[in-house]
Amino acid sequence: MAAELGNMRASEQIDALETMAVNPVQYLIVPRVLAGVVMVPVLSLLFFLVGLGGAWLIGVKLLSLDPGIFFDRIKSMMAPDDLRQGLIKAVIFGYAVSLIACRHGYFASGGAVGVGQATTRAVVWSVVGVFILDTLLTSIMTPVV
Amino acid sequence: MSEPARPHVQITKLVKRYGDRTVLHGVDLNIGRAETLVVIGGSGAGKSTLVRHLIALERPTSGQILIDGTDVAALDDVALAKARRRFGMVFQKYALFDSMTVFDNVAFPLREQTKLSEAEIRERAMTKLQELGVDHAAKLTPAQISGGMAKRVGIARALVMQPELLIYDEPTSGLDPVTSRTVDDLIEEMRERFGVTSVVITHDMVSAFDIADRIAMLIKGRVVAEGGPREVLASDNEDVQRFIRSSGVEATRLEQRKGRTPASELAGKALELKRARDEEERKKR
Repeated sequence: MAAELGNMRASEQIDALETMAVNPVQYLIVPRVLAGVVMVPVLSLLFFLVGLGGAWLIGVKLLSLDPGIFFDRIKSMMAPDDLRQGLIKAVIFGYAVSLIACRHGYFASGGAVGVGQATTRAVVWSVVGVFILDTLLTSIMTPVV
Repeated sequence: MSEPARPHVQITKLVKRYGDRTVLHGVDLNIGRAETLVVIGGSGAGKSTLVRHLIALERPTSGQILIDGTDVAALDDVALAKARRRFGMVFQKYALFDSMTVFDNVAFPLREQTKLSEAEIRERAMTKLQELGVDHAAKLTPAQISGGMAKRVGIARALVMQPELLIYDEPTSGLDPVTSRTVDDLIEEMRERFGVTSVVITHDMVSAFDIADRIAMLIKGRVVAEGGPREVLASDNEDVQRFIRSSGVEATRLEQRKGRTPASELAGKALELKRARDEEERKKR
């Protein structure tokens, strides 16, 4: 997102949108942030299922673990609330990461070098943002025992 | 002041600073309706910054830009969007949308700003592409066409809305001489047919003297010479003379095209078109 918007800024495409009386924030940023909010939870769910499938493949098929024990262990390790928390976090991460990426790309300046720097900054701040948000959200959502 | 006497664009004491770097040092310029003003000057003289102020892509540090008597820098977003429907800009780097085909690029402003049917949009966009000789590339993406073709598509996109004020940022740079003259002809045609007011930034001196009603020379953010092509050619300003000499074109070759209608004669027609458009917008409301 940062690289695409940065390139659009460098090649005057964002200016062109403005001169055609099209609001670039509405046209470029809003759909991307919405896509982040909707698709990151979907991807998280997919990764969750792929992770579960991978564990089953290694544990049951390769290491000959009893399937009953495998699923029993999963049930004892995971609470239904974990999934709910994971999805809530994914929505917030999707929002934050896409907004950070769009912001850095949208305000990129200085041609190809600027686009590269904006992309790096977007990645770094997204990672930092996810760490901070994860800590905050976990402390809010996990009941203190 | 009566309307015909009022310049279409009035730039007063325009100053632009980026941090402690001053790009424009109090520029004063008036552009009459249906007039073509050519802005010349070396790289980094502030030409692009100056024209970007006209469509409020930049906000002045101080000074004023009045278009039809309205201060564009003071408009809110809604009013600015409305005003921008009457402007067009041809960008130096074409600024075509990579994700769309050539046809969709030209159709884009029509789809966004008008309620025309898809068939009408198709007809208008294709006509414009045909006029510029790039209709065969309609289904290609900007990455698949040459720089010269991309420039022509950029011009088609700016012209398709029939704007009242058209800004061309180096429209002939990177084009072969034959296509450059076609672009000059188009700029002239838009002026003759629709009374378009044009501001053209160029380094192409043949083009500048061919299409200009007036020429303004910008050096280091200051207008050092301004006037009709003959006046500028005869200017005793050393910078102007050096610029003309360095362009490699002999002064005797820099003549105006024959049979050019003066801006004063076209201004009346341009005002009629503007009033008709105002009236149409009022009815829509």
